[in-house]
Amino acid sequence: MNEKRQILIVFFTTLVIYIIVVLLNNILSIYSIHLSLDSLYLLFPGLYMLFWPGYLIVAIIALTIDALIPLPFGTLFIIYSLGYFLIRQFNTRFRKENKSHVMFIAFIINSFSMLIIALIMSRSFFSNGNYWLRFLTDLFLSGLVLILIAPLILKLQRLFVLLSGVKMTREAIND
Amino acid sequence: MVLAPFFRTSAGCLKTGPVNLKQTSLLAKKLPFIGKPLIVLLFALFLWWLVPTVVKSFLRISFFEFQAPAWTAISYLTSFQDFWSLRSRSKIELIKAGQDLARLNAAYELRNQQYEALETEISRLEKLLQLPSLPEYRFEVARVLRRDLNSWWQQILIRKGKNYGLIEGAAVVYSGGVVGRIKEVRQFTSVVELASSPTFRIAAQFDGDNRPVTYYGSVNRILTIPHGYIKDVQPDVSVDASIPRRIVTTRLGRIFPDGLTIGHIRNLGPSSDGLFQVGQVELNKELLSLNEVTVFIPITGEDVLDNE
Repeated sequence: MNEKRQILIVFFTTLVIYIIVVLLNNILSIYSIHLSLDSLYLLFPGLYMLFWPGYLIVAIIALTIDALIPLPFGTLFIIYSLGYFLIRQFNTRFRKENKSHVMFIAFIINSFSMLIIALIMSRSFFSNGNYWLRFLTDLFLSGLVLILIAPLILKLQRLFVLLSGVKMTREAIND
Repeated sequence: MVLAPFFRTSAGCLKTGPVNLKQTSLLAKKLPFIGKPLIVLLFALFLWWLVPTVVKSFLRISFFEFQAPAWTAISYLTSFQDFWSLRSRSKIELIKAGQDLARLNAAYELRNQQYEALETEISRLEKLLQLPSLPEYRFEVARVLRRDLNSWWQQILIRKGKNYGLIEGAAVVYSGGVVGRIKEVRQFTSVVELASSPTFRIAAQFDGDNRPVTYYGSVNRILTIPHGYIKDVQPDVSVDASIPRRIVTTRLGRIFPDGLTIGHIRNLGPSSDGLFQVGQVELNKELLSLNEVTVFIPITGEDVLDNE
C-alpha cells in the first residue's frame, strides 16, 4: 500500500509539474520563448524511487507528452528512458541532498534531451544558422530556469511524499 | 511472471526494516540485470521496437484522448477567471464597450449588405459564363487550449474536434488573417499547425496580383515577430520597403479562400537560381497570443443536400 501511494503521489505531482510548464510556455509564447524542462519529470523518480516504479512513472509521463507532439510516437519515451538510465547509472556518484549536484544532473539530462530532439528535427535546417541560434537560446534559457527551480521542485515533491506518510529512508536501496 | 517477485521485493524495501542481503544476492542471481540499467534500457528499447505500429498508433490516440479533458478543464477555468475579472469592471466601462460594439455592428451590417449584393452578382456571372461555383465554407469558432511554439514546431490545440465536424487540412483563421491549418483531429480537440511553423507551406499571392507564389514557415527567433518566406516570385514584381505589400491566400491551394492576409513583405531578393525572387514575410504578432480562432469547413454537396 505504501509504495502504491508513493507511485501515485509522485505520478500526480509530476503531472502537475508538466501542466505548470505548459501553462508557463503558454504565457511565454507571446515573447517567442519556449522552455523545455524535461529533466524535471525524471529527477524525483530517478533519484528517490526504486528502479521499476520510477521507470513506470517516467514511461507514462513520456508517452503522455509524446502523444501531443509531432515527433514519431515513442521518441520521448526513448529519450526519457535514456535520461532515466543515465541518472540510475551514476546514482551513487551524486548526492541528492547537494543542490549543485541536483542542478548539474538536471542541466545535463535536459541539454541531452534537447540536443537529441534538435538533431532529429534538423533534417532540413541542419545548415541553418537561425535554427541553431534559436536552439542555443532555448537551451540557455531552459538551463537557467532549470538550475533555479530544480532543487526546489525536488524538495516540494519530496515534501508531498513525506506528507503522505511514506517513509523515504530506504529509497532506491536495491539499485 | 519473472518480474512479479522482483516488483514485490524491490517495492517492499520501502516499508521493511534492514535489508536482507541474502535475499538481495539471491535476487541478483535470478535477475542479472539488477544494477545494470543500460542492459535494461537496451531491453526496453528492443521491446518498444517490437511493438507493432497499430499498437503504437492506438497508444498515441489513447494518451491524447486521456489528457484532452484536463486541457479542456483548464481552458474552462481560464474562461471562468476571465468572466469574473470582467464582472469586476464598472458599469460605465461596460456601457462604453456596448456603444463601441453597436457602432461596429452597424458598420458590419452595411458590409453584410454589400457582401450579399456581391454574392448575388457572382452567382449571376457564374450562371452566365457557366463557371464552376466557388467553394463554400461554414465557420466554427474554437477556443485555444494550449500553445506549443518552439524552434522545432509551432502548433496550437483547440477545443473542438470531430464532435463539431472538423476535418484534417481545414483552414484556420482569426481577425488578423491566416492562423494555419488543422493537422490532427481528435474527438473533442484538434491540433492546428501555425503559418509560422517550419513545416507549413501553402500557395499564396501578392494582393492585387493573381500570379501564385509559395509561402513557407520558418524558424523564428526569440523576442521577434513571427515570420515566414515566399519563393517563386516573378522577377518583375517589386516591393518598396516603406510601403509593405500584403501577401494573401489563393484558392489554388484548395485550402484557403482568396484574399486572407498571411503577412506583409518589405523587400525581395534574387533566389539562388537567379530565375525568381524570394523574400521574408512578416506575420502578425498576435499569432503568438491567440485565444480564439475560426475554422473554415468546406461545405460539400452532401452537406447542402442535408440542409435542404
